[in-house]
Amino acid sequence: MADVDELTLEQLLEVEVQSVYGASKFLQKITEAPASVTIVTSDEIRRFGYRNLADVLGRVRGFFTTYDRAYAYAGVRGFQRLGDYNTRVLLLIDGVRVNDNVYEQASIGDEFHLDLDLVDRIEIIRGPSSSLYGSNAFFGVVNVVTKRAAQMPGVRVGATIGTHGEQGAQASVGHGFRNGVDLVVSASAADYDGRAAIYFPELDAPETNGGVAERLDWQRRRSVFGKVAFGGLDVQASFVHREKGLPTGAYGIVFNESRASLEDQMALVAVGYDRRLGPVDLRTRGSFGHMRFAGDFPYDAEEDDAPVVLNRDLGVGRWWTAETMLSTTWRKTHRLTSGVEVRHNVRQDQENYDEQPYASYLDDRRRSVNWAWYAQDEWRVGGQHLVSVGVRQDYYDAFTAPVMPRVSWVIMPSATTTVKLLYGGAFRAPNAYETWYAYGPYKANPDLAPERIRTTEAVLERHIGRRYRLSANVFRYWVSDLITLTVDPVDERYAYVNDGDARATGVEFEAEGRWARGVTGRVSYSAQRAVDADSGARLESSPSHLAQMALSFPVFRDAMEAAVDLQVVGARTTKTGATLDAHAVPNLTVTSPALFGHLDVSLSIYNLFDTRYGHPAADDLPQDVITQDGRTVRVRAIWRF
Amino acid sequence: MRRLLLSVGVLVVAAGVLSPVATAQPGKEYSVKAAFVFNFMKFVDWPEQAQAMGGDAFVVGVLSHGLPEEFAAGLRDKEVKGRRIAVQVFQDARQAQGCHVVFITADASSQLPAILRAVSGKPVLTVSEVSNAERADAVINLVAADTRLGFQVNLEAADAGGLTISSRLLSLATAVRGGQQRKTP
Repeated sequence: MADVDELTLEQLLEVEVQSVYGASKFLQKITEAPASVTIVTSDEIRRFGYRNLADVLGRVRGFFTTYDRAYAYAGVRGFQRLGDYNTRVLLLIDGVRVNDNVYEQASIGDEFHLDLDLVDRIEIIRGPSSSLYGSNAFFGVVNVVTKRAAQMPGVRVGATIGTHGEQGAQASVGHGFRNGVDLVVSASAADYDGRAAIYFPELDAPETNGGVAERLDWQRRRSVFGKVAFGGLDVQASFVHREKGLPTGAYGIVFNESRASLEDQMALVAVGYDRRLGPVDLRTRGSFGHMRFAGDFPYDAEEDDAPVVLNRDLGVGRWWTAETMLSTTWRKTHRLTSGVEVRHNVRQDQENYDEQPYASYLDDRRRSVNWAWYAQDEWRVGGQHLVSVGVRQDYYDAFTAPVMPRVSWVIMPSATTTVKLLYGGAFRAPNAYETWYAYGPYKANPDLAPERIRTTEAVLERHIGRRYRLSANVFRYWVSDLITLTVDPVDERYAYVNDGDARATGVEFEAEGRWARGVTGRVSYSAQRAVDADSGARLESSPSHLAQMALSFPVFRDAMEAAVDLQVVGARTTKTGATLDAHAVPNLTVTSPALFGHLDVSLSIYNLFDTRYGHPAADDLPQDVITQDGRTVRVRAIWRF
Repeated sequence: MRRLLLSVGVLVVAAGVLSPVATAQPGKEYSVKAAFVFNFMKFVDWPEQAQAMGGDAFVVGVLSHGLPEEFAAGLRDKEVKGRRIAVQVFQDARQAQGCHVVFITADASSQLPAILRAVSGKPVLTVSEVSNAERADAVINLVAADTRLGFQVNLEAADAGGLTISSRLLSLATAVRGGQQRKTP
């Protein structure tokens, strides 16, 4: 093994420096992380014109996304329950959980806190990690790492225009003061009119306007972000407010009624303090989170000629968290990490009422506390083996969650090859919505228990020369006691119960290349078979094949960069059992950084060939398939002062 | 499925057996960056009068608010072109006089324009580390490329300072901007 300072330039270009935080709660090289990890950098976000996290995840190996014109949903490794709010993916901002405490939704659409311009990198960690994070880290963890001032210095003002009346404006300031204070402040506003008319063939009847929803796909979004770091202390605050028209006529509301809309508000304030006490690294974190959801749902009145009644559905969550983590090295070969995490849910409220005439159907107010301890040891055996074991115990008011350990063995026979053998488990605790939401056809179920998953996985990662990186992995998982919405045959009302087991087997392959003059490319393919464990039937909305391709290259003698990507989602079934054909959707983005030294311009064309395709719809939508947008164009300009 | 698992297993074992001899131990980020700077110095030629600066030492100036120690340690007292390397850390762009190389760390990148003004037209090899998206007018810009590091070369800036960059360095760059240099062997 050569020392790094004796390497030639060619060898230096092969040394890994990129690291991941979210896989072990400390920074480590990706090759040593006890999981299959993908990192999406700010540079990639910019070059490919990604608009939100769903855009990012849809282009990552093993992931696919679904959009129903309200929210975006992520499917992972062939598993996606229609109508579930991404509760089985844990979403973090700089390591702090942002899944709310009522629906436990991982917001990956435009309702997410941050503009992607503020993102330094996105860590996508596959597989279960309850041993570190507890609930929700079921199929994977997505950790969004924000930029430091150095990465966005000075004042920037930007504007976006696009098809269907998309308009946006943003401004940001980043400054590193000489005394070491690092400051970032940013704000943005974006409005979207949406298409004047969206046609849903399933609703093509005279009483539902011929299946056409008019001017109901609009969106308004406002967000602010601020961050200060000094020494070991960092404080950040983010706020987002999004209002979205609801064109689908979901939940049995009146179709094509102009008031149908959703409102999502999220805020997070997080404080972190790091210090070193002798041989121990101490990390303390506190956070305050806020979530408010409000749905405006117009329903037909009971009497024939009475006016439409506006029903409002509300969810309000507020929570405090505190976490302390100690990390130390023992005998030079063991890295021990342990911590305690407390979460105080001060509000987990759900309401439902009619506005005129006023009638209240649900006014459920809850508070709860859960806490957990965890411990992890990473043991370096010789220069080539890394064994890590982690356990965590979570205590809820109603139950003690099962301990789901993670064990991994990483073998590095050479600097270019890594083999990872992984076993891990996770649980997902029932959330307030699944447990307590009760009115009309829905009833509560206080006896809900956590669902669980066990996964085994083998990963091979290999660098070939300076230009290529290959990875292959094979996984199996078993899910049991799935929290499922079912009809009680006794009173014919809906309730969530622990019912259903699933299992899946799959393989994933990926190859990346970097060539001279900044040409980079990536191709990935995954095949998986996810079935219901009892019947052996394939799960709904589960494609057996996924493929992604991405290529970026300079044009006009490096004055511009072009980036093309293609997402292929194999055939999947809808809720009625119909088969939705495979679709391949290419996108193109051309960026021209630093025109006149100050102006970054980008042009994106999404769905380049105007492909007609759809996504499966959840049970509470009248459609079977939601048609997706055809070709859309977006132009962005950012001026750097 | 069983056959698939088996074949992947065989692949994993084969990769372990057939992998080539190790080339490098993955290093800490700033040790790697120091090694890059050391290599850049090997493949850049300064004009005659600049060679005379600094007595018997090659001076690497570092503009940083919190320089990781491993960076300086990776360069200090090494030899390049038969001369010892001296490392100077400073916080103010105006102190950059008399350096052959100036490395501007990410946390000091707000002072990048000031430092570029201070050394403009002088034979100073400026190396910055700002992300690809940033406008970097330093001669060399270290960038993250996937999980590893790459670098971009700005020949215009090199020309302006009278620095000559070897074609070997240019051939390994992820991007080369502008410039009229004749490629030297």
